[in-house]
Amino acid sequence: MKGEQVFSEPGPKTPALKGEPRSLAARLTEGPLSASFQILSPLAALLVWEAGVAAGLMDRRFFPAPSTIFVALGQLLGTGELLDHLIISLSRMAAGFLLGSIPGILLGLLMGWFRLLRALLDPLVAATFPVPKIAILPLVMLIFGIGELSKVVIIAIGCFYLVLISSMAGVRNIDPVLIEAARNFGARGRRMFWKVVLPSTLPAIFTGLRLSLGVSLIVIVAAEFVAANRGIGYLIWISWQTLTTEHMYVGILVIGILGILFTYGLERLGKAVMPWSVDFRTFRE
Amino acid sequence: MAREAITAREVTKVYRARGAATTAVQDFSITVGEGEFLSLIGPSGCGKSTFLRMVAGLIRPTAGEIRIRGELEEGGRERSWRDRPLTAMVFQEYALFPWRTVIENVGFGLEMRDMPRQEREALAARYIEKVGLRRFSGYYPYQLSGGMKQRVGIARAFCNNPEIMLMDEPFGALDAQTRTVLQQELLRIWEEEKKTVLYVTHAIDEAVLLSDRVIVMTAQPGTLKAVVAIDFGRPRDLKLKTSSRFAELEYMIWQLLEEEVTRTLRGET
Repeated sequence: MKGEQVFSEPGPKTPALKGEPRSLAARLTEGPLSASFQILSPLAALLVWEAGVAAGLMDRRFFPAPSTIFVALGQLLGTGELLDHLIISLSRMAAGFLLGSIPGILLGLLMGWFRLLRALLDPLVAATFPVPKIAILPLVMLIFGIGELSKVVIIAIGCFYLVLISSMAGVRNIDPVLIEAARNFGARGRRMFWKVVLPSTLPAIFTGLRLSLGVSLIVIVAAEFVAANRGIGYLIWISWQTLTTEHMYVGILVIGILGILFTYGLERLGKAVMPWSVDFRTFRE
Repeated sequence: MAREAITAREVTKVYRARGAATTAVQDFSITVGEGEFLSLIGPSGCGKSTFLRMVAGLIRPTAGEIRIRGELEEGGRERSWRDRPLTAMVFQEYALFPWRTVIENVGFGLEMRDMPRQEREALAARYIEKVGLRRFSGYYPYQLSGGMKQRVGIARAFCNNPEIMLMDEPFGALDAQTRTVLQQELLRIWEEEKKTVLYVTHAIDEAVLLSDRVIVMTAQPGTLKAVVAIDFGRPRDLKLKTSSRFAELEYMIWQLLEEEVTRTLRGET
């Protein structure tokens, strides 16, 4: 076969050969050691903190020792109280996230593709997007009551904008030559949209989703500070009022862990949905 | 060359941007025979790619008309493309769909024509085999080198079985060695498929090696300057380049081009 010679062409992604000498940095940041390496600096910080409290250098009313916090975490887990708060916060976030993201993706794609729609709606988006979502929480509560719905709605609004803006930008950044190729090979109308526009926009959509997960965390905590009697935000707020600082830290810790899990989970999902995306491989870098 | 595959009559394309009008192509008339390999060569910005896109129906001429097998571009397209598309294009930038594997890229045109999956995958596999990429049919474009990507581009176009192949500097982004290999492969595939090819290039030697006729275009606004018949037989291979006739033709085309290229470089257009 004449084309056989191409098989030896090195692909652009050839992995480093086994046994090739690697630098210390490469060995610590890639491969099996990387997980233990990454945990090094947070662990050191905790140790310094613990020692600082033990030595009386830090005020334990404001900075309870990590060991105290972990005991509190155990207690809150044991009584089921923490799980209760967690579930309610997560379900508010999930509902708001879905309610905001799905219309955001659709409208963003449409606004990216149809110039007229974009010209019509872009000024409205540009004018309302910068308003901090928390600023309109009282208004949302006025309209939707102080129950669950208002918290879901405020998260949905936050997610909606971010996903809309990144999907729209994604469509506008499609390489025009891809559209030309698709047209030349017979893609028209709906098929152009589903088979070409949507897949080329997926990486941008995922970026929007990642941003909006972060914003959901911020918004849910803030909303639960002022207008809830359950949830992680509520736990932090009530612990401040009752001066049970270690519970406050438990709440903050949980939020941090959620942030990591969301980013990681979405990255995994992205790789599964877009095994072809080079951009997505460097998602976290 | 009994029938005419493409007839372009006094085609003009004017671009307007912020009040200024630029004439990319002016009164350009050519005919391309059935089964002919015709190259367009000219200085940068002479409108050769613009002309190719007009033949593809991607942009409309401002004046004049382009007929493919006697049919007007627009009317003909709607009627027949499901059975047999008029054109299929190979792009300098490859323009592969990054989210599709090699076989899915090659079968894209067939999919748009509603060919059942099994049938189109069998056909796509045949063309992937032709360009020597059988082992890579499950790969995504990012896993391929430039030369391999353009092989996919060529397979995708041939696989769609168009009346006319349009190639827009297909090897322009490749290194010289890869380009030479691909030129030979294109010669081989073309001789098997016997398609009408309209080929845009910057490289004179490439035009001489591949074409039956070479059209030399003027600097912007692009129009016909000269037609050079390449009187070599077929099948051809790289050895042709060692003949004195090859060098003669190359030099002749360069002489025709030189003035136009100089004009472009001086910014006189």
